[in-house]
Amino acid sequence: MIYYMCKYTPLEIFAGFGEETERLAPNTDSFDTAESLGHPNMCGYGKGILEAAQNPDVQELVLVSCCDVVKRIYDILKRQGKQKFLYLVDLPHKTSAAEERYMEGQIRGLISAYAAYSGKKFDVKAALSQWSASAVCGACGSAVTASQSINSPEHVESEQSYISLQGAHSREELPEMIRRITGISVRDDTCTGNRNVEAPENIFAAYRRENRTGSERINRGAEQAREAGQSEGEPVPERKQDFSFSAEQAPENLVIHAYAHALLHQMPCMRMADVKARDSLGRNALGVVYHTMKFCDYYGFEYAERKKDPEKPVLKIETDGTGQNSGQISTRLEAFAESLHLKTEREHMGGTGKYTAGVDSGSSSTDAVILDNAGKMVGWSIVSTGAGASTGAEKALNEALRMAHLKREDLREIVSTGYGRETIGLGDDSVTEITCHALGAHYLDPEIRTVIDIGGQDSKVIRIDENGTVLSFVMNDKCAAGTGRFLEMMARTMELSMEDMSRIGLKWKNNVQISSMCTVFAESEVVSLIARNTPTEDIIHGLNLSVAGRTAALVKRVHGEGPYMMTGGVARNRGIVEALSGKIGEKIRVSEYAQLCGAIGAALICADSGGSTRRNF
Amino acid sequence: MADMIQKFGNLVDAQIPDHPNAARRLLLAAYYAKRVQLQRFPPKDLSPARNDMAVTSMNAVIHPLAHPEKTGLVSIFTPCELLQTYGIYPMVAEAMSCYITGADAERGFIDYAVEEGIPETFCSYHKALLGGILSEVIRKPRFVVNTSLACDANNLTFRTAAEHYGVPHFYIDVPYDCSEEAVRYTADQLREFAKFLEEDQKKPLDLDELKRRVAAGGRTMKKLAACQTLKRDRYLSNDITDELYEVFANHVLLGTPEVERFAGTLLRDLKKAEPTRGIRLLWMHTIPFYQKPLRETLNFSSRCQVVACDMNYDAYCEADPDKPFESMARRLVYDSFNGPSDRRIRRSLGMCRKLDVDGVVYFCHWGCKQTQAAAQNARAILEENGYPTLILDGDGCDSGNASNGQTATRMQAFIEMLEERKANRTVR
Repeated sequence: MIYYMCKYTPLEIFAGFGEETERLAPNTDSFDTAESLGHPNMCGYGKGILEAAQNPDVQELVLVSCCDVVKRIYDILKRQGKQKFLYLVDLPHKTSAAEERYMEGQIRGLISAYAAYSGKKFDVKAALSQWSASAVCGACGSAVTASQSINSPEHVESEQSYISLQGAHSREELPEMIRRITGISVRDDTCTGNRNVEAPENIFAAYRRENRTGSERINRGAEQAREAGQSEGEPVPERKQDFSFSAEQAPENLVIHAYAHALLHQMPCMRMADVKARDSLGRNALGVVYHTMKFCDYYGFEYAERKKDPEKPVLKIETDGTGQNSGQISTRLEAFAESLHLKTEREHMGGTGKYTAGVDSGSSSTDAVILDNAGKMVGWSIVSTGAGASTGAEKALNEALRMAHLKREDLREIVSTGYGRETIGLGDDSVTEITCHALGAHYLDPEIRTVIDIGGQDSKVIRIDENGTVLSFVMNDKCAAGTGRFLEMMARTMELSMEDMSRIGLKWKNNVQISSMCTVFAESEVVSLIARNTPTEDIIHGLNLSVAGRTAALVKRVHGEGPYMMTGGVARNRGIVEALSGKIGEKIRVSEYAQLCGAIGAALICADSGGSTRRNF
Repeated sequence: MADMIQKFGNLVDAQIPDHPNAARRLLLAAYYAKRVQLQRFPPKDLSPARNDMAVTSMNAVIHPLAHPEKTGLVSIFTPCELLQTYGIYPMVAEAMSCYITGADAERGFIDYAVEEGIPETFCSYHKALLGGILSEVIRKPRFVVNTSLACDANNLTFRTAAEHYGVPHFYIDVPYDCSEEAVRYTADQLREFAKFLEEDQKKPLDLDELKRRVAAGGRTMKKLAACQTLKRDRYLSNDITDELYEVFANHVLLGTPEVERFAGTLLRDLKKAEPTRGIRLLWMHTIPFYQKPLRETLNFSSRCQVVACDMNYDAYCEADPDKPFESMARRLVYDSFNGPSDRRIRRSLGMCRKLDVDGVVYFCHWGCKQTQAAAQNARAILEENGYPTLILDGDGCDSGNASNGQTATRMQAFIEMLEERKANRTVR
């Protein structure tokens, strides 16, 4: 079995040796071996491949020089010497005639190396047959006929509604999760997903149609010039090549040449020099889930471009190559499905009361809100989540009921939100905090167009329309920097309470920069500042600016526009609000009910009262 | 002084989002002032050659920043003899970022880039440069050209720059395979690049001038190689930044009379230098020249010195002025930073032997996956051959992404270890 990872791998060649191929799909959650062989700052996919290659079954592995990490994986594995056959194909960055010829040389090199290793003879007809058979659209799976090129507009147009999963390679669970949560099909357009090697008959037909003399003209021309001793830069007449064969009749050298052409002209991945064709990716998709991976920069860049189009719904999912943060991913996907109106109709439990309740189960606190039929808040509570989310939720709801002088049976419907929404086992339905914060902010102040919520575990910025509907949202990545947790850690370092942090930070006199992007480094920077007797208020201000800077970047990513409202517990920290207002250049509104925003939204979601409800205390 | 520079950096940073022209003028004013200082009051511990190279490097930043209309934005490995032929200033991405850090202003540029969506995990040199580009502190050059050497960041930064400015972009793909076929392929691309320049400048290439530049580059490399031989048993006081200046001399400034003069003067300075003393280090990859513990430990120190950096003399090839395109291409293809990491490691091992160093610092710059992922292989090979190796994680450009305390402890402990080892060897 020949293992591979990149879509540019000349897989079909191995049919010419009677061998099968399989993509190496890492699924480990621990990278201990990979980090000891390489470095922790390699991307998770690279580390996963290194881990997977430790499996004794992986004896034959073909890599492509597609990115820096893969090149080094090859070096590391070569030094380890565990594989019997380990080969690196050098992929050019460009795709003109000269590069086709270079790629052809690379494929020939691979054939020679495998023949020498295996002692088998290469059968070009078998390889050609495999190439014809596998010339299907790697993204949608449809066969590609001689009359229909994979990248032709007709082919792309023929696609049905789907979610396009783009960006860096993702683990197999992600497309499955998207499919499950959104309920529609997913096209894997990630860097390893959309392998679109055009059929041989297409290539040869094109050659005949264009009366092409082949890529040889440029390189051979230059070679002839050198052989003839001609001076630098002199153009040389073309040497006519015969491409009039059909694929089946073609001699081996032309098949390999055409195959190199087909491999190079796939939908380009981001490491290729010309990536304009990628603009068509997901053109007809209902939405794009964009997967970025820590330390894979290629797709972070493309995501920044994708976000510039406010019309196309894009959800960013960042992972480190492990499956460890599926809870956060699930929240984002659900919110995305809600914003695309893909979530199935809710069926409430059929309560008959006059009131609705929303419960927001967060990592630090659990909040509950009760609304009457007119949308008026009649009861609310904020309790510490404590050790058990279910207990906290029960407690919050009971306290809100007590405040409203109501009983449980007076409630027509309960909707839960927040990280604990699925686990608290309370209520008729659960909705993500993104949708709830949007509705809650709209309820509190209908003018609001951008909601900023810095929570304990994550930060989110939500752009909403005049009805409180989510237009777009972004969340911070897995890292704690820029979240409430970051502030809590720093408060602990300075031996202050969160209330002190909020109060003291306002008295700053000098700008202190906390420049570290990493929470751990930031903590050591704070320790250094304390050691240098830097006034506490200035250090806190520096921390506030650091959080504000990260949040302002999220605001920019979502194309935020005023008026802005800050919700969640961190909204109580005036230092943060002021620092963020300064970064955004506009005053941020904070409601006295800021912390209840998610619960209000959840209560509004309940049948008959969402959307049109106005502020009504 | 450090506080003053920090205040200056903060002042520049504050201008970036809304007043990019003011930010640029401030930077230029600081660079002009520094150049005057270097010319009139050179540091007393620095050799004349080193000081001369510091001025040349400063000019290589000032000219393109002040005259974008005569400038092409280039990557560090781009062979610039073609640009020199037309009198075009190369704005070198990594040099610009280093000088931004030198002014303590990198925070604002990096933050600007990250706010524009550039990933935090991206190389800090490229982030700082992109901050300058996207904020327009760095004005629109005539064109952008880069090679695929030596890392993926080139494929992203320069494409982004060209798209942002709306200027022509030329990409030189250097094959990973180090072969004569790769040289031919690369030389053909350089010929295409010459045509690209002819179109931009609207005048034909002066092939004779190009040959003269390639010949000058060849002579310079020979002199620098002779310096390497002399460095084995001489001590020439230096600053860790000097090795970074030499990176410019060995790459983008190769072929200029200034760099040929530097190579000659350095050779002369070395011939006059005292016998070697103290701990001698080979530094692999870029150097965080701004970090206080490193400056305090290594600058002008007779206790411990960085005698060479593996980013220099990485592309030593005989130049054939009659085949200028092949000469430049061969330099790229056979550069030790191209191809498998084993080439770079083995070449560094060769440098260790030639320079008779006591140990190696392998610096893992933030965002440089090529270097980071080869760290363990490098350490294993170097240590198998008797050269203790310190793998030092840090950031060559972003001071906010490095811990001075950690760096100081590691570096000092490594030097103590090497000193003990050397003392024991001497006793034996």
